[in-house]
Amino acid sequence: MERNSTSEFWVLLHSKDPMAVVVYQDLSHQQDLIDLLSLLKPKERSLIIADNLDSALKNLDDIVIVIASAEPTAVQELDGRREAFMERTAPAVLFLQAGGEAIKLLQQSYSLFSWIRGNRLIDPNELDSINETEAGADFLQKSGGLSPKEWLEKWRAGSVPDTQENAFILHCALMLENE
Amino acid sequence: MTDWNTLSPHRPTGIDDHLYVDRPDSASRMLAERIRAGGGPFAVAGPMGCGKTSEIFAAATMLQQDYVVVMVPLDRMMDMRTISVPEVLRAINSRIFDLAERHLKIQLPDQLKKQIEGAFLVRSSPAHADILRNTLREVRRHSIQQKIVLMLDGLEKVASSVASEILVSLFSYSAEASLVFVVSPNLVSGPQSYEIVNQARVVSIDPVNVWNEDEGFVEGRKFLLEIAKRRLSLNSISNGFADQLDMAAFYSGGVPRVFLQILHDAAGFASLSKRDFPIDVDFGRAIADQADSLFRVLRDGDLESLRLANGTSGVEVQIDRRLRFLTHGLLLHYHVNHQVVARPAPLLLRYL
Amino acid sequence: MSGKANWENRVKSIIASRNALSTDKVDWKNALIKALTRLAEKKFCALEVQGWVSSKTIDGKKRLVTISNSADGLVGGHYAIKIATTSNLNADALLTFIVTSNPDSSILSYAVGLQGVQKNGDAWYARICLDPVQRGHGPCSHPLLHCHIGKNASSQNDPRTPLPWITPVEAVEWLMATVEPGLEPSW
Repeated sequence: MERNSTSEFWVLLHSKDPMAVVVYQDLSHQQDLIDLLSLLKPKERSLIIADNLDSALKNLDDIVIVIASAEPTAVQELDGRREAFMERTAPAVLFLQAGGEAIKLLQQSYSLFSWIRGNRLIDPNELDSINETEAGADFLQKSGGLSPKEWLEKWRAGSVPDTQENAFILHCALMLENE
Repeated sequence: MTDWNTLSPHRPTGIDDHLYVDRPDSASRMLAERIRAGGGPFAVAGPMGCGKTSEIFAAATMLQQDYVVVMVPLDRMMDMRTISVPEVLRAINSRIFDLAERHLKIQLPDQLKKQIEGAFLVRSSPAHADILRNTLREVRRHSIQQKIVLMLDGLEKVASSVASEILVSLFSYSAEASLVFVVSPNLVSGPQSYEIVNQARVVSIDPVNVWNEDEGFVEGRKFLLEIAKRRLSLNSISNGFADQLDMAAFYSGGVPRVFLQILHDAAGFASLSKRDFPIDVDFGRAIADQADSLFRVLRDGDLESLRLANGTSGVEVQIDRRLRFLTHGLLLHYHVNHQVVARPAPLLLRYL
Repeated sequence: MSGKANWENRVKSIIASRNALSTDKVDWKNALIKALTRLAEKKFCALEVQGWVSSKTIDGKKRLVTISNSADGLVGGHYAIKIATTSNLNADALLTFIVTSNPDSSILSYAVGLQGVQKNGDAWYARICLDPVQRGHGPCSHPLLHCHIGKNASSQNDPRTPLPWITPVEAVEWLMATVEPGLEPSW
């Protein structure tokens, strides 16, 4: 069953969940995600970008994206004050770097991690990764048993009809070609 | 149109709360009866989301005619990172003072009022300890009920060593009030729990039975469905929706918060697809989400350990791993025919 | 002027434009969401459309942007976006797109399609395709970037109209402006 980060973000931003953690890979990814959240938010809600959690406790009805200057400190602070966030009516979204110290700290704090994952923990890198085995099996079914490489060879040779369905299969083949 | 936000998975029910649903094991009633019987202190323990706070509030509802019930939600009153014994004593004092003056209309002696007001300047635990003792005695003396029950919530959110220190300091008030504490499973399990378990009676708020193999699963699932119906203000539900809720109940492992979160998330996915009501695919996504995030906390050897523990009492699981399992809700304890049966969280079945 | 060289130059021009995207670092998912949001604000599709654009990758290499299974339309087994009544088409026309890009955000291939029923009851179909490489007999009969125009998506012999370089977002804009003049870009 297909899941993807866009739908998860949309559901989050349109909910009254008080808190979420988003895992980003690097600064460029972080910016792409901020841009995406800005696009997906409901019109009637404001979006604030802050560098600490205090903003999330002051602006209870706005979406607050927290890009902490010190992520481990933010996690510790969240641990100590999490009940205060329950008054929020729009999500506060704390960005944490994949594999960073803050994520490790979070995973060690059993109670906080349980609370976070019971709210929302969105890792776009994981959600948006194609399961190659499943995709490969799916491709074989669509292509009548041809591997992506075989199908593309036929396509390049001009022996695949130029239909919309084959346009979709082409893209799947391109994605799986070198895998 | 159904307002799915009323599910509020993280909101426990409060005193006199019409949303409260009695558990199949009537845990709140049993707690109230044990308090009346004079036992205690009581350490209310169980995995996150099982309803510990809701049950103590329900017990408080039953006791409030005959007891001065003092609820102390420490996690809402202070920063749990810096919590200390003097801070807890001061917090309890201020709650009792507030309750006495504003709700019970008790006139506390001026001398005591001055002590409580000046307590913010005092750092030492013994000073706070005496003030609290005085407060409890005065409230008891001046109240109609003449009995106090003190219910502390939030200690499951601090490190075990800090929680333990706080509890030990509060045990000395057993003569002044009935004491109820919500604690994490860590505090009452394993060799390091001796000091607490020796002095407190453990009341377990565990997941309700949801596995087909276990007696009581019908009542357990009905309990969860009833919670959903009340929170959504639904008088009746269709057979199809009932089936979906039943599935969500199973995958929640009998943990009310997880059940409500699955339902809440499924509704969110439904609204993305312009549906007023979630359908199977929405529930599938919501369950997959919860399963994924539970999977993140697994470590090497956990899956094998969970497989081996399934259907046993769980006591053979190495203690550190067992405590981590219990705290994270990876391994759940069920009460079946007066025995404890351990099972992995159903959300993990796809990985086992 | 005519002849093979001109057609090959068109291919080179398209390839150059495609590769130039690598300096822009465009996030095609976000770009498509913006374009769809504009359509939604003008009530040509559901506002939820923002949440229907998915982006998938294998090991962070190539990226596939398409319509997720939360969407409200289906074309064969593929999810599509229902389009409300336009000047030229009845309600429930279906918009589809799929974009494969390289790690540097240059586009490898895309297909953007719109199909529906005209006011006179005739079927209407158009699909813009950027092929990853030149195929067929040559760039004249099978331009690298072309538009199929016809009646249905299964047709194999519709003419392939050569197009100058346009991005997938511009392809959506062009198709929609074709069936709804009020959607002529004004920004």
